[in-house]
Amino acid sequence: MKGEKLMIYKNIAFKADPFSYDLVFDDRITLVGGDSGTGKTVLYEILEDLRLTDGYKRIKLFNYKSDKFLESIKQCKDSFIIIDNADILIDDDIRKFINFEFSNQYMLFLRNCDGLNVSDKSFKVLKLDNNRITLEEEL
Amino acid sequence: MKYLWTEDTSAGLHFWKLVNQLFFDNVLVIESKESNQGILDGLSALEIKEGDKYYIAFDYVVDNQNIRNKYRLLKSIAEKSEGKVIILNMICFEHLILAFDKLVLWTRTGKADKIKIREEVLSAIENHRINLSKIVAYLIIRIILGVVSQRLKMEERRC
Repeated sequence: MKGEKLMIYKNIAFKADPFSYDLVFDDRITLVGGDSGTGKTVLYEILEDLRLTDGYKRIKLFNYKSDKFLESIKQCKDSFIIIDNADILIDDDIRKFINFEFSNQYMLFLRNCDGLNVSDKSFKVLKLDNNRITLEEEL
Repeated sequence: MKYLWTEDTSAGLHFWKLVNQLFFDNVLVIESKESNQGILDGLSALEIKEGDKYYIAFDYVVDNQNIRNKYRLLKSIAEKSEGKVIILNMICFEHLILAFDKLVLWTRTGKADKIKIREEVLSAIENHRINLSKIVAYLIIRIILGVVSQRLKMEERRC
């Protein structure tokens, strides 16, 4: 539908014993914040494995180890892009790409939203309840 | 006492005073804290008396990190206040105005004749009300009263 935000994955659900993850996305850009030790890096590492499965082949992950980060991310179309430590990794050029490359969906582990075209539905934190991990609105 | 704190100093402050007068019989004490930081400073230094309530009109722009940080602090103050500090469910004063579709329709931003009408109406405001006796143009009075349709206005302009 015209004007509708493209979502590659409306939700990502999987089990990583003893935890089950049920991540629901409400915006094309999701910022995952929260304090250190809340499981962001663990989630990133699990998603590195999950992208090898048939259901999640459109996941593309980037962190400080990624080679030629800027060139690589700009090649992405129709992808679910995840960037770890995005506060350090992204610059204005990449913010512009994220804002205007509408074929992609983005999940960014970062705290500073300045310069990104986000909504109040973009801001999430990981929440653990009875070994079930979800994304909840931050504020 | 019930207080309403706003970060606005001019139009926003006027708006809340008008709301207080028209809808709450001036029960609220309307105060401008001049900025979001001013509101936070005021709340931090506050000793809330029994029976007092503070309604907070915070300028909450979601994609501004500085404002988000301040809003996060405001929320933590409100959560600890046992219901005595209440954050109004709004984005900002300007958004309230823009969301008021009848006003948008009436102001017709950018149209010279409507700007002239607005100037005349604004100059006739006294104590939050339009003093109709100060408005010279009969057409403007009829527009304020809502009795002039768009077609009629065009016909009157042609005459």
